[in-house]
Amino acid sequence: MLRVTIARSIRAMSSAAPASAPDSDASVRKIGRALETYLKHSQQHVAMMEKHRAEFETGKRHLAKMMGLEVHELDQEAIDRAIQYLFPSGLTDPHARPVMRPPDEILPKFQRFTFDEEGRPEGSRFFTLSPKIYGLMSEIGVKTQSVMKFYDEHVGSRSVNRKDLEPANLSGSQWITADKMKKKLSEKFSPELYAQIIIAFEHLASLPGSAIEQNFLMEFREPMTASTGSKLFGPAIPEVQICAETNRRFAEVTTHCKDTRAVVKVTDAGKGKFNVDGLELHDFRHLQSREILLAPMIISKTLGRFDVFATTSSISASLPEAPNREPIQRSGGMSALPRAVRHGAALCIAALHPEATEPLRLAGLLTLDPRKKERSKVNQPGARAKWIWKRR
Amino acid sequence: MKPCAELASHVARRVAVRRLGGVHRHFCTEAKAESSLSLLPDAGTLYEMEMPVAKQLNMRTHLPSSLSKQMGTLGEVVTLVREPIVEVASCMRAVNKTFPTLRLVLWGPFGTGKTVTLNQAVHHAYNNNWAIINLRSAMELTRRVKEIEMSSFVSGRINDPSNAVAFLQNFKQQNQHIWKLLGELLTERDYEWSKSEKTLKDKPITEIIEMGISAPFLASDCVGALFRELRRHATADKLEVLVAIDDANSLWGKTLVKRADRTYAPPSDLTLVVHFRRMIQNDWMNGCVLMVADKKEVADARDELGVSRYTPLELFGEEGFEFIEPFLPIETTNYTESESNAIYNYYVKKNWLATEAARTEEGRKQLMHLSAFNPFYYERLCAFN
Repeated sequence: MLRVTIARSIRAMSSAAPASAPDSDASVRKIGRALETYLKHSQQHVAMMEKHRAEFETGKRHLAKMMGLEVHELDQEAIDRAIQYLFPSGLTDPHARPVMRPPDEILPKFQRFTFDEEGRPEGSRFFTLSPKIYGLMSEIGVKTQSVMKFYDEHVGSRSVNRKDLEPANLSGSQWITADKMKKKLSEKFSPELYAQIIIAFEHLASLPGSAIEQNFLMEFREPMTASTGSKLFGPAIPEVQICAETNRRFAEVTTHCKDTRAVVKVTDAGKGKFNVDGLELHDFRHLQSREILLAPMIISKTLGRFDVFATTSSISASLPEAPNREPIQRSGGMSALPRAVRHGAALCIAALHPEATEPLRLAGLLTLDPRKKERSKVNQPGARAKWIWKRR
Repeated sequence: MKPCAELASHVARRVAVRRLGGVHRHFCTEAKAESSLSLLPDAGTLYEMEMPVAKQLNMRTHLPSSLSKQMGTLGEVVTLVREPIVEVASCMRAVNKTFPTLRLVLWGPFGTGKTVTLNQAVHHAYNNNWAIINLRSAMELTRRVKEIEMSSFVSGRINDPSNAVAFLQNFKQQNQHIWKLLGELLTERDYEWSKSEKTLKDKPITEIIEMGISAPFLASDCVGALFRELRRHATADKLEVLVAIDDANSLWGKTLVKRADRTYAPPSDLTLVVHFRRMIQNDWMNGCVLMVADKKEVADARDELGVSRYTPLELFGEEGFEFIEPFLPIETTNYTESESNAIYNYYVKKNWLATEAARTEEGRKQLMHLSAFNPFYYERLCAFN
């Protein structure tokens, strides 16, 4: 009887419709306390999501009215632009800026359990209280077995790649911390369990032939902070592509300096030609500009090897502007424009010529310069400057 | 911008070739037949202009200032023979008494050697005993006019005594090698400069020059008379004339000369400008007119970032372009790698590149690329190191 009731209430809950009030059936009271709490939280979550969805729709209509648009015209892109215009934010981190997105995308997810037709939880590990971590542990065990078997079968034979019979290469990385593991599996577990997992991983990684499980192992490892693989500030080193027509390698990246945005494409096996908005290197009259543009090539000792093609635009001109004002057309000067191109070119050269990555990084050419002009303040002649005080 | 410039050059070249077809066809035969013209060294080699000659040709003022300073420091004038001067020399070889004057326009981006090519051509003319009419910059006639006088010869014309005297003095200095020959050429008719001053018929034309230098208020008219006589004698095959005008597009540019009603005078009102335009016309024989199209006439000197156009049509304008057509455009370009290596080796040999880093292979490459293969920037960069 109890089982049937649970099954019924769970079926009601897992359906899309809002959960109805719990049955006043006497048997419900016999449900375990934990399950009761779970059901309550689940219903609360569904109700909250409903409310937020309705609020989002209303907000969208208001926003459309404010921006003078039809509701159906207001797609997510238009919303983002409107928010950027209505709440201008100078915060550097994009995650810190105001957003308006559907609640399903941004609100925390509710962890649901799955049950079968009869109301029993799926998978017998449910009763261990930490199903995911035990699942991972058994997966490691299975993989350990298969690696040992693979090694025993293929050692000495020529049918497999010799590299597959070596231990996995884990240099430059470390196991992810317990906190990150908890986030990854979305489950809580004790430090003892974490230690067991790490021991199991270490054992698997030490086996000859574990190279075949390299990808699985790397999922649970992270690069060491001090190593060269650490994340760069700003755009990452792009992927190398191959031009279908000329069959030459190239890399492309978008970056910026001050108010200048630059899309830079560097092609390998070139003549050292530059094309920045249609200008060649000799059109840059100042030595400073030419020095900046050539800095990545000088440092990587590849003068005359790469062709650089860049187009630049003004960031502030592309920002949403009030409808009655025309965006001002600006362009970078003799230093900012070459610097934007330099950052892009350095990233591309690091991609095309990986030996040069470390020298370029040490020269600081792979790091984005996030500085911007500070806005001037109302009632002040500049960002910080004040009018001279005068008695009267 | 670039494709446009290339197209313009192609069109201009094709037009010029069509109109100069006869001349072009005769180039090869002429070159073989005429051995009197001394030959230039091959393209890509360095050649030295002797110091006394450079002094006579007034290279210190005529060369670009940075090169003139280098000339003072190194104590010699060594320049590279490049494609444009080879082309100019081959055109000069084609000049003879049966063809109207050849008009050549040197054009190209900033610092690629337009003025240097012009001065090399002047030296080439000196070597072949040509008469040299060399104007340092046509811009001086329109923008750097210190004093003005109204012309008594044609009403409304504006004389420029100081520039006229300066030009005549320069002409006298540069043509010392044929001064004797000029002394033998006689005037066609009586010139009555003023009530008291006269030059009679059948007097040497050097008298006109002396007259202009000694009496500045007559100098502008003397320039006109001198040009007239030179054209006549050149057509009569007494001598060959090279007319080398730097920044020639300024003859159709804007002026800073004010008239009585405080408006700016058009260049066609300036006596010297009129005389030089007359010299550019190709209604006389046995001469070669070499002009430079320079962007300094149209570019804003204070705009550090802008890149202005440098094609003949843009610089000469509609009117000037019509006037100088047909002409042969000769483009000056940036160095090739071998050319910059030649200059690099010269600087290393002269110990002008003294630092250790500059003398390494890496230093050579960096100098080449940092200068963007531009001759002007290359010289500046090497002077800096």
